[in-house]
Amino acid sequence: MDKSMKKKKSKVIDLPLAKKRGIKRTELYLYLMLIPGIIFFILFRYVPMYGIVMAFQDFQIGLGFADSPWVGLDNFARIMQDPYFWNAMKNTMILNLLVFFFGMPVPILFALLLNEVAGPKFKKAIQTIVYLPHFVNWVVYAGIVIMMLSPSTGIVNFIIKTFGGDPVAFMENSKWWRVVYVGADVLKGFGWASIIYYAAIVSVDQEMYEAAKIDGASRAQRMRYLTLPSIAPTINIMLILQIGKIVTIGFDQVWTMSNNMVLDVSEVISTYIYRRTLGPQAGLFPQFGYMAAVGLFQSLLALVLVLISDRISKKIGQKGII
Amino acid sequence: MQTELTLKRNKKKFVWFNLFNNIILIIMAFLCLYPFLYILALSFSSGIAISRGSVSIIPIDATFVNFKVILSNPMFIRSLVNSVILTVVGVVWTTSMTVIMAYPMSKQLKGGKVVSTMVLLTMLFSAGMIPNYIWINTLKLTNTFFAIWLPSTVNVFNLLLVRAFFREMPKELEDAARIDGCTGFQMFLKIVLPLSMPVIITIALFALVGYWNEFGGSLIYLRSADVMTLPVRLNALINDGMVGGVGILSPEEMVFFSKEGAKAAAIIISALPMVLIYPFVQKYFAKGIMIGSIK
Repeated sequence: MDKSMKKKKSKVIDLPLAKKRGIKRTELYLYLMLIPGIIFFILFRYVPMYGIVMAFQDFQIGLGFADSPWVGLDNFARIMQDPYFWNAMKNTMILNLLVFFFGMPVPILFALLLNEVAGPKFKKAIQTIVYLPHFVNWVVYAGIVIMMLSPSTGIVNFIIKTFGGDPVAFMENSKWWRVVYVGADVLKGFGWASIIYYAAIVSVDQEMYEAAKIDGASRAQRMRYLTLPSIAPTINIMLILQIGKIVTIGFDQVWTMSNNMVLDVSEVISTYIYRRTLGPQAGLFPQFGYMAAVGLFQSLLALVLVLISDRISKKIGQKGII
Repeated sequence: MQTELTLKRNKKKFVWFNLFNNIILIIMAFLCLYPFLYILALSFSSGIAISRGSVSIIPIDATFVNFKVILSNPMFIRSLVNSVILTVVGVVWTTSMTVIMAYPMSKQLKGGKVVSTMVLLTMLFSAGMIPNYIWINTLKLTNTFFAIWLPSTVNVFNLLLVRAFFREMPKELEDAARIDGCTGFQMFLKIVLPLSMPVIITIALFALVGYWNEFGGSLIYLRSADVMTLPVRLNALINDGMVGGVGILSPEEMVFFSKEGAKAAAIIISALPMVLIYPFVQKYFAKGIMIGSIK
């Protein structure tokens, strides 16, 4: 009791000195708090990077990094001649481009329309509904899509049959599969993606709208000449972000929607790596080294693309993305 | 006179525009909602109605047998329990570790720049699926939940979110607490944490949805039946149709049962927790994205 009183007293009296010492003591606990996080990043983000050496080995799990034979750049030479890899690369880019062209305008359009709604309750209800698909995973969503499109029991084919058409096996037909993939992607994601555009629209100065109204601008004109330009920076950033993502694609979405009948269009790089190492077509001696090389090739390509898109972003006067 | 006419015309235009606008929005919202309504209807419909393909939005010959079969499938129940454990522990772990790391990172510390750089670099480049797998395998974590929890300890996006929140906290608050005799750590526990509840709830909800929906990692690391999680089990069930034994059904109930209906019931059960909570959490989420995008 006495001691603590004294301590307090000394602190108050000798402020500059106490401050000097106190800062050090406070900083110590801050450093202690950093330690678990740093350990995590080292142990689960940086140490695994050491494993990339196996891209230059004929890696065998039983032998480990130390004893697996080194093969130099053989794995990368093999990538160049691997038709499955290039097919997967092509599919990755095609699916991304399709999603980009058909998926990008929908959330923007939706945000523009939503902004024109007068009633707050109606607006809120619409928002809540369109966010729903974002909160379920691709296993659930792909499951629903597969069941809706089932040739025998699905509602879509029921409608086709009702109008006298022949049932279509959408999921097993390579041409249709891409359409379904893009459709499901857009439907699941556009509501959530619209948030960022809607926020940009709402932040536009309301007085500008009033001024435009008084000057006799129609609603369509206001949308075209006021709202759209105001969200142009956001659209720009989103476009640029997409460039960096063109060679990467979500594993869950492709894996849950694809099946063996459509591998020619549905196999992408991540599913190719998984299928041949840990998945159903791993075989007795999965080629970890080669598939690690495939993964590395993709990561490096993605890194270069992100750096390029960052450059572009800064060039056109936007904030960089990294 | 003329102005009155234009006003009238404008008003008419206005009404048409609104109507058109709202109809498009309603169609878009319906397209989002319908797949869920369809699967819900399917899960309560009889096998005969499902095989005719005529279920659209309302259950036909309403029945509970699909749920009865799926909920008596021990493998399905096991995966449900596993997902609950994975999610509950994971949310507590991820949230607390993120907050603990974000607080010192919000201060001007010596060496803080190095830590930030180390963290941010992981957003640009990662080891990849195979090296990560080999590492987790070396640590003997496969087929344990730690294979999911440990690699997702701190998410960089969430870390930046919490750090931004801490940085916006008024400095005077901490000065006042220090003068009152609070040590640094007490201050963090008693003053900073209670004031940070909004952001803590936000990242906890991110973690909740993330863990419940987690699929890729579970597929790779949690392969044996006793640790399999709900999304992986559901995926297998949708593909192979092994929905569970029908021995528990009476002959009358058997008439109503169908594999498709049971699959739909499994989908409903998997999606239900998120569908129930999301209307309450969406505002936190939306806020989270906005802060995150500002960075």
